[in-house]
Amino acid sequence: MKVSARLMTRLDGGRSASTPSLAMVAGSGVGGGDVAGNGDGGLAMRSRTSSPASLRAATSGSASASVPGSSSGAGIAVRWATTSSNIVRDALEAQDGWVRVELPRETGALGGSGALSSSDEGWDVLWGDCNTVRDVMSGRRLATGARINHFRNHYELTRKDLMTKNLKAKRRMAMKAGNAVAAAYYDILPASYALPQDYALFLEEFRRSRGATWIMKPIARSQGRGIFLFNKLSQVSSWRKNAPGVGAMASSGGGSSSGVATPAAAAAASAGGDAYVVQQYVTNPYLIGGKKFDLRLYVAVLSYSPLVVYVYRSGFARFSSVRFSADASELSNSLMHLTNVAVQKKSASYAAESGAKWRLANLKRYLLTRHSASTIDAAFARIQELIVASLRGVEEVIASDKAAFELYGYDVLLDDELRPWLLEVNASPSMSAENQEDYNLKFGLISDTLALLNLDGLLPTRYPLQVGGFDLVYWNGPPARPDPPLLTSFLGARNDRETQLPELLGPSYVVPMPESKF
Amino acid sequence: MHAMALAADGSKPLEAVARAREAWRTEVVRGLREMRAKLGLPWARLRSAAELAEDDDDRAVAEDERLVALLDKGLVQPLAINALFRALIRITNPNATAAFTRFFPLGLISLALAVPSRSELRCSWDALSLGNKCCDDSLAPDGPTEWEDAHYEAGKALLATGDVDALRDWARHGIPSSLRFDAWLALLLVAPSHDNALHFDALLGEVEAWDFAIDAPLRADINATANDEHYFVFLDLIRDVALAFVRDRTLPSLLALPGISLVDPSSGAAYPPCGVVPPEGLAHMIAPLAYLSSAPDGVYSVFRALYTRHLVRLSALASGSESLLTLAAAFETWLAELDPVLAAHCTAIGAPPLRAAFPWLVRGFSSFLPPGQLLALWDRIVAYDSLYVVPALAVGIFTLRASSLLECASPQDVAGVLSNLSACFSATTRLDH
Repeated sequence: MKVSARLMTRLDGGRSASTPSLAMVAGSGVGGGDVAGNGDGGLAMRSRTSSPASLRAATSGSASASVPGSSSGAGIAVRWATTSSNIVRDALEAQDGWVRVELPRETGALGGSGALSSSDEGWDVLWGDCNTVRDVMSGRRLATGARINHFRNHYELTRKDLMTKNLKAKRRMAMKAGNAVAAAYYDILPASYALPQDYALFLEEFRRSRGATWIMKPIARSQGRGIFLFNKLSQVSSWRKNAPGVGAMASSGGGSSSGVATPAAAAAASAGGDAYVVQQYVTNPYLIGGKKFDLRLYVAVLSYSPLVVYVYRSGFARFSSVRFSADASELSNSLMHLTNVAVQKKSASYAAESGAKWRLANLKRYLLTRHSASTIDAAFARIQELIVASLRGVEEVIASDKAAFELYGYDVLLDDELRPWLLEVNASPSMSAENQEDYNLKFGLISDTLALLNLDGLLPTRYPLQVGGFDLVYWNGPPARPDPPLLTSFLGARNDRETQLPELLGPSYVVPMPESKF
Repeated sequence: MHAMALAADGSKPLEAVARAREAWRTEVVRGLREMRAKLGLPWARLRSAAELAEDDDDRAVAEDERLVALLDKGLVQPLAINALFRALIRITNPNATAAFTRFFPLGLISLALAVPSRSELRCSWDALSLGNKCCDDSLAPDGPTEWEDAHYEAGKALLATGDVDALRDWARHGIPSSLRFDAWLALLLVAPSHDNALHFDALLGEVEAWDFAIDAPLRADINATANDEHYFVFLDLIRDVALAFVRDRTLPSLLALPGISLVDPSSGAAYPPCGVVPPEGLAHMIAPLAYLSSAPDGVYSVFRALYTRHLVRLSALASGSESLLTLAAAFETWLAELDPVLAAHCTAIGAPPLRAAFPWLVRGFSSFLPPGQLLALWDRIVAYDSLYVVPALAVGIFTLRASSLLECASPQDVAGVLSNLSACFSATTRLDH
């Protein structure tokens, strides 16, 4: 295994706390400084936390190759495996001194895994698609120190119907306990119902809010496929008639790839028995230049018990290319209502160079010209609160796993009162880029997520307040800060990762930089 | 020779410049005529009832297709920046040769024009000096400081009182972005009235009814903003404002300096009706104003006031009163005084500083700086009621990048060093004074 020069200087410089004896002692748990609680805790020591790699060296003895001639166990390179071939792989390759390994072939269920030993998977971090991860994790615990990029049952948050169910349950509990504040806290979704099971409840609500527009979303689809808007029950009934198993309309076959958003097309698209979520449509979105947009934000969850949440400062606002109109006649105009890039790409006026997207900082700057700074600060704070609320809503339901972490893509809509609404949470946000700026942002995002995992043992404390572009927003409670910050939320603030990372991780740390790909 | 009327500031206009202006005007008009003839466009065409009945989206698609067809046939901008540059540097005054005036031109402008000295500017631009605070010191959207909050409150109070002079003093320290729209309207002396909205609606009606030949290059210009990441969202707004602008007959009387246009000798009517052939990059000058207000008529009022009072000078060849000629001369003079080595070096390698800085001057930096920084620059134009900040910033950029520029060996290198300006702004306003 090769060892980078950087690791060697660290060994010689003696900055790391991983002298052989300490590594042996700390081998029992993952990471030093296991403090459950708020903020940085009482551990002000500047020594580095021990890295999983060094622990592996300590506990597995002769199995892994240590660096000949070095007495410290920290000279092991981090091993990574991935199923992706895009920005994720590029970011992993750019990490200084990390080595790629292949996934062991037979990662079968229940014990018969291809792991090298029960304490070593063969890799330290695996970034894979949901299916691969599910296979690897099924029925067994992963070896200590290995990190994998999905939680077993993340779908409790990322499937629209389950998310709705979980959040509504929390709201109901709060309302029963008479806790109005908590009930409002979890009121982050527009009124939603899972179909077909909650059809009766939906009908009741529909009748109560006559004339409201509703949006029907397929649960398992992405990129805007199969979604349609309606404001009359007759439109839903026609869908039910054409529902799968009752003879989907073959004439609108291929409806999943066209931009036509009619009930018939959606029914054709749902061949195979998808369930749907019907949600009250936000008819007063915040408009810029007369156009609707939604926000794509990135959130890293390092553990669910305790709940540890980091929010990335940079993100996107995705614009529809057509002027918005809440007119009933425009309901089937998917270009106007659906802001997914896949749908917008088909529009004639799609601005390919900018990808119909604004960086979050740009949006914030624009909003500051229309509203006062305190209003915008409050608006972004509410968005951050929404993110934390959604995670607290599923905190008890998601099976926590010491090995798992997850990077979510949040889709949030702002209405014209600057109130945020949660549209969707994605467990595998798109990691392909359309231009260099897009690429740089996603590269930095993955790279900073990897830094959060502390695989090199460079983080000074377990959960620092800022790591690159990530800010800690929740650790069993709001993190304690030494001084009150100027901003309540750092969403959209300047992403100073290039200067912050060396400050945090030591001057010998080389910030991985994206290549020029466009 | 007919006598020249005195200019507004009491100075007598130079005949040489007037003659050059005439020559330039003839060139532009001839270009316009040729373009029209080649592309077969009528000067003005009343749209047919069928066209008017078209759906908005269909009409937009049809317009785009027509534009693409015209571009294929060779549509060019009638008032192009490169042509303007050549016309500018051609101006000479045969009456005042160097032997007579003892003035040896330092750069491309060969006239001895009076420009304010740097010490004069230092006095009048006191608020920009390093000791004083400006509310856009840190242009990143981090939290506001106490001073900024106080500045904001002071501004709100002043806007309520309507005291323009006090507001001007306040504005010299920068304008917080949420107050910018109102502050500019007040400082540009635009009376808020319902007539503005009505006037704009009337213009929009004319946009729908008439199709002008001048619309074609203007649409091409507008589409350039669609590829700009900061402005693509506001494409519709920019289009409405730009097309309404060329049809505005009230404009010629408001212009600070006369613009270039076709004039019908018998009736005196100008084509285009606004009295100005739109210069290349007009859409990019409208675009940043979309950050001021989301109402098209508001943006139009601000743009009209800003253009007639200030921006028209940026493409005007006239002597005196802050025309492009004077601004260019100011740029060259100041750069030569501040850093003669740099100026000489650039000229020696075949990249005279004015050539690189010229697009910045003509466009007022509008397509070179991101909107936040650009609006901060234009804040100063409005607050000091003077365009001299523009060449000052240009000089600042050159001196800021002096070390890189001195290493350049060819005009291409110089262009490379100066291609990305986004980091320059806050440093350079301080640098010069």
